[in-house]
Amino acid sequence: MKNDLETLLTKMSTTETLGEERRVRMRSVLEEYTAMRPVRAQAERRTFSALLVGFLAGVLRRPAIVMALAFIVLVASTSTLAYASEGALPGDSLYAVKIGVLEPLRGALTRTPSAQAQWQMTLATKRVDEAATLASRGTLSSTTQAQLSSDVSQNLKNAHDLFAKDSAHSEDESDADASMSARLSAYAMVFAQINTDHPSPEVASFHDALTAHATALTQSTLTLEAKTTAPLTEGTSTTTADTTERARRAAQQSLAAIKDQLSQGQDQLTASSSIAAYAKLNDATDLVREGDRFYATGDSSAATDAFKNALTAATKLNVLIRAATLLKVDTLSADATTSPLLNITTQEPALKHGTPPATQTPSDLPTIPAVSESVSTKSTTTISNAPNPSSQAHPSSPKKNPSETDTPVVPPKLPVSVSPASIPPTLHVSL
Amino acid sequence: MNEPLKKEFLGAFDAFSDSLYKHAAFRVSDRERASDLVQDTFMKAWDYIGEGKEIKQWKAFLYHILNNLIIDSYRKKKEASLDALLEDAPAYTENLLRTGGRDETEAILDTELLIKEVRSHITKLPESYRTAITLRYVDGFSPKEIAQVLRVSENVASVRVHRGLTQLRKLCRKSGLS
Repeated sequence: MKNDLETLLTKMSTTETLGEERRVRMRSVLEEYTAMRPVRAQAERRTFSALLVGFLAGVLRRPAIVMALAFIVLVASTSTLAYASEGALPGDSLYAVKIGVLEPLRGALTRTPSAQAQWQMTLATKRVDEAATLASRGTLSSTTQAQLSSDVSQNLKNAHDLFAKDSAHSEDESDADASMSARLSAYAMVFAQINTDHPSPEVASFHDALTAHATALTQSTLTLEAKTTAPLTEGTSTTTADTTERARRAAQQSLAAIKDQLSQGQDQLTASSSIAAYAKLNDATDLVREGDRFYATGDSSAATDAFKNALTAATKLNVLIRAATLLKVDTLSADATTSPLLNITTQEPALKHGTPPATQTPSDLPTIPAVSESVSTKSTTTISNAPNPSSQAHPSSPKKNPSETDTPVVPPKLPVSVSPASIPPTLHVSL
Repeated sequence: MNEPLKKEFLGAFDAFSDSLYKHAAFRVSDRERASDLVQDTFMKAWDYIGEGKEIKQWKAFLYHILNNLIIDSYRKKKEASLDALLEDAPAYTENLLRTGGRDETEAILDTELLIKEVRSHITKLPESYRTAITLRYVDGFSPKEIAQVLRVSENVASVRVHRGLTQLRKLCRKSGLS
């Protein structure tokens, strides 16, 4: 029936035609009509404004297009607002927009628990950075310090809980924890330096909080790595080629970013900071080379450790360069030899390898990052036998690279000496 | 300045006048009215050009005008009996008898009767379905072309054809057509 009906319908028009006679007559009528009603002379010369008005009139008649335009305007204005509020600090009028609207909006776009956890860590970093900015200006009030400190704790707790939901990605959590730990350790150094320059209980308190978080994250990294490697039998390579490659890529990307960051912020760094930063970059680059050598000999586990250490060093360096260029808090040259606040002379081999400050932790403290530890033992041996990295690394590096100049790698400007009496007791904590 | 436009206009007449007439004749069931509607369609198209506007898709544009004129004409005049159209064509039957055998002629006439009945049911359809069915089966338009003529989305055009066909099928069943 269906096909028959449709076939029948298609046959309906076949019986009717206009007919030649009627067609000719109609054509002649229309020809006369065209002669009688000529086209207006200006018709084809439409001005741009007329075209624009016509276009807008046409557009506004279509609700879908109007909605789309409204959406574009909304996005554009939101983007402008986002840009304007990105650098807002507690106390600024746009700060409420930043943390109350834009950040939750961006957070809502993340889907997986793992991505949400990463976002929480990003938020924690933002809060720490805000606190560092205020502290460097001497405007970190006790209320703001307490609020930011609480926010950081909450963000980190949220991240931990979210990672717990996604047990399949414990490796992601381990990497994220290690990275966050490095970042917080670096910020702790920045706070320590600020406190040295302008002692303040708020800065000291924030420093303590950061140190505690960094320690907890390091412990978490240790636990997670132990979990990952436990099922494997002794003698088996504990690291897959994929993990090694991923760690290598991440380290290389971070180092490349540091190079850019250094070249862009060169003008704002003091000579000694610049030298120290390049020395650290060289050390981190050496760690990647070290990892490559391990990988070539088939020890992918040691190679991964080396790459992860390079990444940790790069993460830390990123924070320190940022603090030196934007906040004018110079911890780079200070970090090269001593930890200013703690008044602990750092061990040269550990710094030569760009290892995080946790390797400098006194042995009586239980929190030693596994990543740093493994590399410091492995790479120290190897690199100590190798020529001085600063004399062989980066033969093609820019001239600014201290390895190619006669300037000593160890910066001449030593950190401000701080008498233990001037340091709040709470800050006598290792990073 | 008139000449190129006039040439284009008359070219469109040569290309589409027949099919427009078929469409109109099917819709209004009156040859003279259909002829007038087609002529009015082209006059309106020329008026449009005369205002300095451009016609990019002649076919869709002309059918759109014609469709509006048909709807207007429905309002002005009660539709004539569809039977009048076929009964008004005795020459057509005579011609069939002259050119074909008796059995063949009977088969053709059976089909014509069937068509006549289906057409009577088409007039009972809501206007939007009737237009869509006519454009689809009588004029052989694709859903995309129907959408352009009626200035609706392609989906809406397809839905109208589908629903029109379903209703027509129900009407045919009710009247005993299998």
